[in-house]
Amino acid sequence: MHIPDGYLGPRTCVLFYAVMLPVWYKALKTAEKTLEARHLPLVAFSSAFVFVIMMFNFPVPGGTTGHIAGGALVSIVVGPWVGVLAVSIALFLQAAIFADGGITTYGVNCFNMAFLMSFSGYYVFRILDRGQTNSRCNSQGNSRTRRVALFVAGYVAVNIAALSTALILGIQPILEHDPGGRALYAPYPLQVTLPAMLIPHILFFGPLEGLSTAFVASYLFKTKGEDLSREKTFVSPMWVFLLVLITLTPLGLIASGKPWGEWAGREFSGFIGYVPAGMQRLGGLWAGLLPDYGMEGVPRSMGYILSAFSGSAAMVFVIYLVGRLWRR
Amino acid sequence: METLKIPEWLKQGGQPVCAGAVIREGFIEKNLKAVSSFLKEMLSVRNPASGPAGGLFQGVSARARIGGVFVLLVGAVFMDNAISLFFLISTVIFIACLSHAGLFPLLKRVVPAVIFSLVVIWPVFFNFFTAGREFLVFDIFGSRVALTEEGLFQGGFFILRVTATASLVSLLFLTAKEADIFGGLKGLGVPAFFVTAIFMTFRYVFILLKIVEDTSLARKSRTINPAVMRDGKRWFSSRAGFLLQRALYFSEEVTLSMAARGFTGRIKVFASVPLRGKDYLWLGFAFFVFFMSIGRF
Repeated sequence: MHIPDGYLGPRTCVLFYAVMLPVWYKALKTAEKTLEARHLPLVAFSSAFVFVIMMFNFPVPGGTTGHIAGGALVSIVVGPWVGVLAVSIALFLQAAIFADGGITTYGVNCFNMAFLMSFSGYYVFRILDRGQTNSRCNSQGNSRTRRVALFVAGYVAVNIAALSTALILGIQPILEHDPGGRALYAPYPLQVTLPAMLIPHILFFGPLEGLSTAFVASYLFKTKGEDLSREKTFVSPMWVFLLVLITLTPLGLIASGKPWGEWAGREFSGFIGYVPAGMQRLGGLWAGLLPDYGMEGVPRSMGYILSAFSGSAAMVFVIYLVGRLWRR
Repeated sequence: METLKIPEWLKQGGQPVCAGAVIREGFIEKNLKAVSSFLKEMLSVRNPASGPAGGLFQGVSARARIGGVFVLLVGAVFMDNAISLFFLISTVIFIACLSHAGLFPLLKRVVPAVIFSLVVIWPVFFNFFTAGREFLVFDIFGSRVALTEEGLFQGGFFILRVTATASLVSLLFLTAKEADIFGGLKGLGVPAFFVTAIFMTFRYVFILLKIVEDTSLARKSRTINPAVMRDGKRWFSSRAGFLLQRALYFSEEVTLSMAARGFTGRIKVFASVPLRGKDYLWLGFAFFVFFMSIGRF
């Protein structure tokens, strides 16, 4: 499930960084508020646990190996927001040290394994375990029903993450291809990625994740005798709305053609038969220093190189200015 | 008289092991050995190239190094021609050599990523996935399977991009101390809570690995026969639970010790060192490559 650099197109990478930024912000704020920064070691140790636990590969039928992701397990034990942080940190270290995963695809990997796994696992467990939590019929909190709830939470969480990974990989040939139709990034279509990801997860990795979640968490509940989660989680309607928007956003990437509202005069003329007077008057008033990334009298490729050089110089200048202002 | 209780797993034996016989390692031991040796090799041993006077790339501040590599990574994702990717890989090799990072350590980090990608991408090379001009034809059990030029081009380009991105990340981590990386992340505006947590995680991974190693050794020293798969999985589950319990226990201990040393929850960071000429030069180069890569001309 760790998607390396180079497998996904820039639009997908940017989109998922944008999706994860508010999630990380909210996770940080929640962790600071509910745990206080004094409890920073809890986040760090949870991350270290996820890091270590992901390193153990189990042999599975078919000659391959698999490991548990631990997202559902950690979120059930320490809460979903801390779970998001813990898995995100573990994924960063894996990408940095082992090149397992990627830096440009970090947002996508965190979305799948930190966000989706943590929340789906946590809420599936909460819903299935509601009776147990309310009645407190079992002081050890370790009944068969609870173990089943833990198993289902782990199973569902890893399969949701696998489904999301398959979808993201499978839409790459649609989103990113050259004029000849050849894929520029991950080349397999949804017909390939969906069964390739889902069949092993439904049959092998899902049960493995479910069993590990059930055994490890019930061992903890048994020895601790209490629910360890310290977070108060409340999903407001605003967050549900944002979540729906986030889920639907990738659909926009499939759209082709010029972005809405960025039409030139001639394109407008094609749509409605004429160019509005105001647009005709003001359009092209400021053509830019280097219109169309080129220069008059300079070959197009050379013009582009000069534009790139100018843009780089401008960026460096802006960084320099910001640095100077920041120091004051 | 008190009876001695022997665990069931110790009594179940199968064939006794002869003296001098080699016991095959289970998946737990294999994993532990591989992970521990890799981590120790990669992280514990100080890489001479990561020193401040190591070479070309070490002269650039960590903040600029991370920022520049990230910009180049994004550039690599945008690149749509093989020449640009070759240029980027050559640049990385050139910088690695001038930074005394060495070609072998770079390859050691990049090759696994390339092999993984080859395993994923190989069907693309063949006619059953990519139609095109047949390059090499095989007859496999009466079926005609052929490598196609288009498939080789598409798959090769994909591998090239993965090589470029993996080598960029490897270059960064081969030429920087972990403290520089974390300091650089802070300098780039990543929240202090997040960076501190990453730094602490980095340290705690070793503690948890040591616990797992110790428990594995303790088990091994009490076991005569190699554990069967089912026992191994059962043992793993209980030890994973124990590990999580220890992690939570340690987190409380560390919190208390931090509080005892005056930590109030406010994370204070050193002000970032201002960027210098070399840093601007590196960033300028990175942005130049990035702007070139997003262009279509």
